Amino acid sequence: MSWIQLLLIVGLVLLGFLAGLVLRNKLFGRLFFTGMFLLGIIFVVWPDLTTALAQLIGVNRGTDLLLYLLIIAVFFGGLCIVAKCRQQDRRMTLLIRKLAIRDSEINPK
Amino acid sequence: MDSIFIVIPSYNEGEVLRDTVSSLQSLPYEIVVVDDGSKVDSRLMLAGLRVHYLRHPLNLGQGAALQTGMDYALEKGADAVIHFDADGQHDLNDIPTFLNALENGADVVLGSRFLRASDLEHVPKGKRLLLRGAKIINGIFTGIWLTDAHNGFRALNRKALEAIDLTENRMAHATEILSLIKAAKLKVQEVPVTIRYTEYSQAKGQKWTNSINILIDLILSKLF
Repeated sequence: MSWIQLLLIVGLVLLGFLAGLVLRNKLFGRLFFTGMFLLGIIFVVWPDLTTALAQLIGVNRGTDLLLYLLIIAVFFGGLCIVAKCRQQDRRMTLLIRKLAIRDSEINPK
Repeated sequence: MDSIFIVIPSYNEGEVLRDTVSSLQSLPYEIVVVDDGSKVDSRLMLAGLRVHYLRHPLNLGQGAALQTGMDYALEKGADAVIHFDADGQHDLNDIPTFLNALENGADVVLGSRFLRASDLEHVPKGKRLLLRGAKIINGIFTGIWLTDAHNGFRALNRKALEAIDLTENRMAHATEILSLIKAAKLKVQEVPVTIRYTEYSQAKGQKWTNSINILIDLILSKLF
């Protein structure tokens, strides 16, 4: 095993723990990310696997396959954040509305 | 209908807000100004006037300000709410037309600049084209085909107030309100209104580029 593989594995393990910590009370998210990081470690240890997999589904190189998956993951993640932002905006609006009504004044001096 | 509330959203309006609210003082209606987190304190503009003053601690947008005003009016037992602009482009002499339409059974009354040729003459040429486009977009998105779009002069009865909850904080609320009307099966009527285009309201009003933003807001709202 080369030093770069070792470094990647250490990184993936740390990220896996971090994801587990951040995703409190989210079993599905924890399982998903643990699975992803395990898969990552497997690909790091046996790099030829990605190419074999890519060729199996008609993509030439393993790096290409990873790139395609990465693009999908980035967009999906981005959209999740946008949806979350809209939800937060909505909550903030309701809070501000409550404050405005609570602090309303009749005939201000 | 006894209790009628005029809701005026205001963002960074100066003297013109005072002029608008002053002109409404003699009418037997409650006036609600919703200051949408203006940088200047519009409360100072309203000193000594008969008005309900509400302020968003942060700027949210016109749709949010209207909804705050409507929630407040409902809480105070309003029978009807009128949406009125702060910048003096709406004519208070049109208000009875709106209330008559409500009395005659409409749940929501929308002002239109396209029902009388004389009103249309006040609309700048470039704006007419934009409004025609907006009408079509409204129709496609909401299934309600009107003669005008987005002039902000509306009246809603209590049934409509209870059914409508605007979640589009910014300008896309004007199309959203039509979707909500359709969903709640409210009875809509258009009445002719005269809109005054002053230099001030033109400068404050929307640039055409903003209509593209509204369109994007609408598409986003359909997606999420």
